[in-house]
Amino acid sequence: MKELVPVLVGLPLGAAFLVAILAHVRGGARLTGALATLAVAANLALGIGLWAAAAGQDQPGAKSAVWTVWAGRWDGQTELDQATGQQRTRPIGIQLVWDGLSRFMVIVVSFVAFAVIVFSGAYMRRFTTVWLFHTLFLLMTGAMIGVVLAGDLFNLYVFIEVAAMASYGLVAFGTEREELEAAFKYLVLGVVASSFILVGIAILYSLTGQLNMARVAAALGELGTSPAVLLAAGCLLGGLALKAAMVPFHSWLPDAHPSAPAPISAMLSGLLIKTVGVYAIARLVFGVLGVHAVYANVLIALGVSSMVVGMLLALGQWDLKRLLAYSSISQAGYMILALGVAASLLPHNRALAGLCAFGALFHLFNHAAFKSLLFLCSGSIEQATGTRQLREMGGLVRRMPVTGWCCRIGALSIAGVPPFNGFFSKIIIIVALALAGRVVLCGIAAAVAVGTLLMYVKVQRYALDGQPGPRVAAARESHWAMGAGMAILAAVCLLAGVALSVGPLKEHLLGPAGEALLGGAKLASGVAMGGGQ
Amino acid sequence: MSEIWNDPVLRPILAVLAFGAVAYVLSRATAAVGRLLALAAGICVIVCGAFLAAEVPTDCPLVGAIAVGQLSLPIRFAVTHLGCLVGIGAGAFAVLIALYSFRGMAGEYWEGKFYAYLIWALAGACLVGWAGSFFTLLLGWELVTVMLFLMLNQGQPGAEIGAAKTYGVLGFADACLLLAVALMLSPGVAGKLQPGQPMYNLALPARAAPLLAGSLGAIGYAIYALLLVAALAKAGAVPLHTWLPAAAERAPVSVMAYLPAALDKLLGIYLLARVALDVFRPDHTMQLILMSIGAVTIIAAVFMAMMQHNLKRLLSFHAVSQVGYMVLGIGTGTALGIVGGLFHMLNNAIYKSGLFLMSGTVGRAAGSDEIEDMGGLARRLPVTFVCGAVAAAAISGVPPFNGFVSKWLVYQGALSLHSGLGAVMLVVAVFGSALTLASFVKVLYSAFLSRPPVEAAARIAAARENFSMAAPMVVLAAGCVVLGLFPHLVVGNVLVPAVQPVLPKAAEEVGSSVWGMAGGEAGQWSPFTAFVLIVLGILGGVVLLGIFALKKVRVVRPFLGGELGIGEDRYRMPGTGFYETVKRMPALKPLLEHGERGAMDLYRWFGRYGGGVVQTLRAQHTGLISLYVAWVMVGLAAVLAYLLMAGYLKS
Repeated sequence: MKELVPVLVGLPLGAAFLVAILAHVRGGARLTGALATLAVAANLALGIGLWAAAAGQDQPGAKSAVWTVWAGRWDGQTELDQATGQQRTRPIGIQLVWDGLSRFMVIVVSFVAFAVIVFSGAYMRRFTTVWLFHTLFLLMTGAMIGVVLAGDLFNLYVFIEVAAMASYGLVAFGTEREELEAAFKYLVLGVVASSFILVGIAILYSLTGQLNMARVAAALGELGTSPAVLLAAGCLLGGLALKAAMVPFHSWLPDAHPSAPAPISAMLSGLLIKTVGVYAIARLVFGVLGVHAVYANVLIALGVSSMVVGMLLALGQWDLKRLLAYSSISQAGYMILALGVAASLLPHNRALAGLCAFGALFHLFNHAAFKSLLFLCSGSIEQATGTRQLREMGGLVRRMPVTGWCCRIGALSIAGVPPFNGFFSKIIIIVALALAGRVVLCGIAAAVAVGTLLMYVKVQRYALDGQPGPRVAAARESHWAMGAGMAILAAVCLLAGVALSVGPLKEHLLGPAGEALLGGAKLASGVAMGGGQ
Repeated sequence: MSEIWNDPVLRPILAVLAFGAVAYVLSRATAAVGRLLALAAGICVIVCGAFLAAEVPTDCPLVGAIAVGQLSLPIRFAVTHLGCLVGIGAGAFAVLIALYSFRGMAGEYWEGKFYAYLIWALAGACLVGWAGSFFTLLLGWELVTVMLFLMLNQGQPGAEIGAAKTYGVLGFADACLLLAVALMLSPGVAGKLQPGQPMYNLALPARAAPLLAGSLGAIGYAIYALLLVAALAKAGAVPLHTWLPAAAERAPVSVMAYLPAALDKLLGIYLLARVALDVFRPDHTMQLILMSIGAVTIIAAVFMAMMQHNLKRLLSFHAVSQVGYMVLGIGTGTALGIVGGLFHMLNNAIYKSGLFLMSGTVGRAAGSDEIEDMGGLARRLPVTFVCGAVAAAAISGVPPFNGFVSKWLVYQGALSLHSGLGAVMLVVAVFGSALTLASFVKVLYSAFLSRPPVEAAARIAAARENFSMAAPMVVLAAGCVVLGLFPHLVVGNVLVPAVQPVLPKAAEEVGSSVWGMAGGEAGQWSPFTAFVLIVLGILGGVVLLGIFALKKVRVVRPFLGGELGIGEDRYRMPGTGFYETVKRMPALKPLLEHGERGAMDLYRWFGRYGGGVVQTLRAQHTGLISLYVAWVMVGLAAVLAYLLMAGYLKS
């Protein structure tokens, strides 16, 4: 089975090129949507299949199966050094890791991508050259899967860049003045971040002579926290914090996310900032740099500032998509905060650190579901009413019941209302903070939850409830395919919390993911050093 | 798994949830199913509650838990006297409100959904009442909030404004509860609060002796304050009350009578009592704070109520004011006070629900909720008038109705503190009662006894009583009388046993206060004797009236300078002007004006000052790339500086 892991990356990337070719064949342009949907669906099926196969190998208890695959001929084994004539470990190679964390992320990415592509089938009809959209969409999806599978720092960087390039194009997709400006800002800031990430990787390479994460981690274990390592860590954390839109690195997001077409906003807010931001930071801190109090403090500070500032800015918005974008900053802050506390607890209380990491990952999962849902709803609303301004909406639940109720479910989920999923991840994070004795952080997390509730009460009050305004009066329910895309995500929001208590969600998806995260360097290095199985 | 379904508490709750789901699914097709299901759900809860109450206290097993690592979020029940009171009470209100809504909500486009929300809110109240773990309580608590929000959203145009405010305030309260519950698990608190419980368990400390909050240090006070905020916001005490008037104005009357008037009071005060009895014993300072909140709530809200012209808004301010008695009673910390506060909780739910229903019937008949637009309804709606009068007498604490008994207990509780403060509280509370009576005199006169306004005369003349709308009011009014004459039914059977484990002397104290021992001590109250005397007095009045009314009174149309035909309305006294004098009093005028403009509205304050912060932050986002890049650089520099310095200092 494990030979199939590279297909997860290859399939969407290959499909992206096929779409471009197909678009230039006579009559093929109409089929690009079907091809893209098929590719994403196949990828989702493959991801689930591989997950089930790996889950079958899980040992009862904490240990989850880890598969590593060396792609191409670069097997990362020893080679003969031409200069000295000695055997040495090959420093480069493409390693893909299928462990608890990456299989969790692959499921999340493929699932949301599937819901989004179903939605966009009908939504994108009003645009021309839709095949470009499909190409870029597949490129971004494949690159995000590459990010979460990469077992090597340089591949991580490459996939981050591929995903970022695709997203620059997608933000500018409408080619109006506003979209181009947003894309340009995003590009400039994204390149700044990328260069810092590259500098950080370069420093680590010069220090350890390795790029494989596990080997770098092992080498760093001997170096400790020397100034050079801290310099590299600072560059990497800062660069990735920009990708994750942590305050004060967030300024590109509120322009970029709302400017893209709604399905892309859903992908950007629901997935991209998490895979290339939160996930990458988590992998880096737990799996490469090693858990250290200073990194934990940086994460906590970034998390708290993002939660608070993002929440405040979202409260002041009247543009629905901008509000959603700011709230993504705030919600990503929850994850980073919980990860930071997990890192600070790991050395002396592993069980509690596990709880924090679990809360962070569950929140990541939930946020992917409800924020994508909310962005899709915003697209459906914008298409029907022609406006994004909350003040011009009203009474949408009556005019567009499917969109309205999906939006309501998303809003209640993100506001942390039981029985929806957001309630469970927030209560786990807040309780974990209390158990850790971080009373102040606990209070901040609860206060931001209130602010989140307020902003989504605002959304419901102005957009969904009340009397239909002039723009809404003529609105009709959107195409069924858009409804289906939203309904899939709404069902996840409704069921994920309850599924936590009974299903395999905890046993085989979130549990192993948390363990793989905390096991970090040690777990992965055992595998990689042992020769990649 | 099968034993879970046999759980005597879980079964009715699941059944009620399922009823709600069926009602919701079928809501588009027909509302009739919803009506029947709402009645069925209410009756189901009452019956199951009665069975449960028969064998209090039962030790319930763990139903299930959401376990993450060591953390367990257990769903567990505990049957207590108070819980059964809340559950059965909620079921009874559900039945009555559903019955009222047969007619009251008929033809509304969301009628079917209304019943579904009503049923789900009932399930939430049951979860709270029979909660055996904080997690269960939290689930039910938030379920009721959401249902209230969804119900308030409907109604007249503009209802969503009040609904949003309500959800904002109550959502804040929910978060406070969640935070308090989470903080109870923090190291240093968990072991002391829940001896014998694993630290990672959100269990309610079952029947444990309450701790003195101060013994936990600052965090103990913080937890207590958070629980207090949650309970008081739900119940609607000053300064967290502002959602009530905002919601009342445009919300459907069935919703107001069901949730804010009845269920939210039950739940909020239930939590307050549960905290006082099971978790934290208030120390002297906290008693002082609680009693002050109670006194301020009584007096501030009743003044606001007197000024109102909208009947529903007026009632909502009374709903706030009455909470003050409950908080005051529980704040005294004495058995008398706590029992009185809890009894007042039930009584208030009964008469306030009845008053809201009365306002609905009256508003329907007059076609407006403004008091000026009503009049002369006593002749058209006699049943409503009598029921409204009984409920108004009860809320004003007129003997022999139930409101009097519970207020009496609260007064006694304040007096038994034997301190100057208790006396002050007593004076405030009695004064508040007098003002309540004054404000209801205005309502009863304006709506029922004054001349009808000319414009609405035809409409009012056509008004008729209707069985399904009158019956619930009659039942509630009867409840006021029965509980006034036989308070022992609830006080002796439910409330005293509920507080007995914590305050062992409760039975004697309450007994001597309510039923009068053999000796003629001051402070005894014999409802039946009083009732006879009052009836005799009223009969005497009727006889006198008969004697004097024998004289024929001459009735002429108004005329001026010999000319007839001046507008009828010029001689109509609508009653809204009764208390204009109070409004113009030098000391009160500015206070009332500020109150009307929302000076005590924390929600508005938060909006204003929070808005300032938000605008300041927004102003920084100018859209200049160079500025944004500068932020990134500053951020990076800060991260690097911190890492290098901290790492350097460490090594």
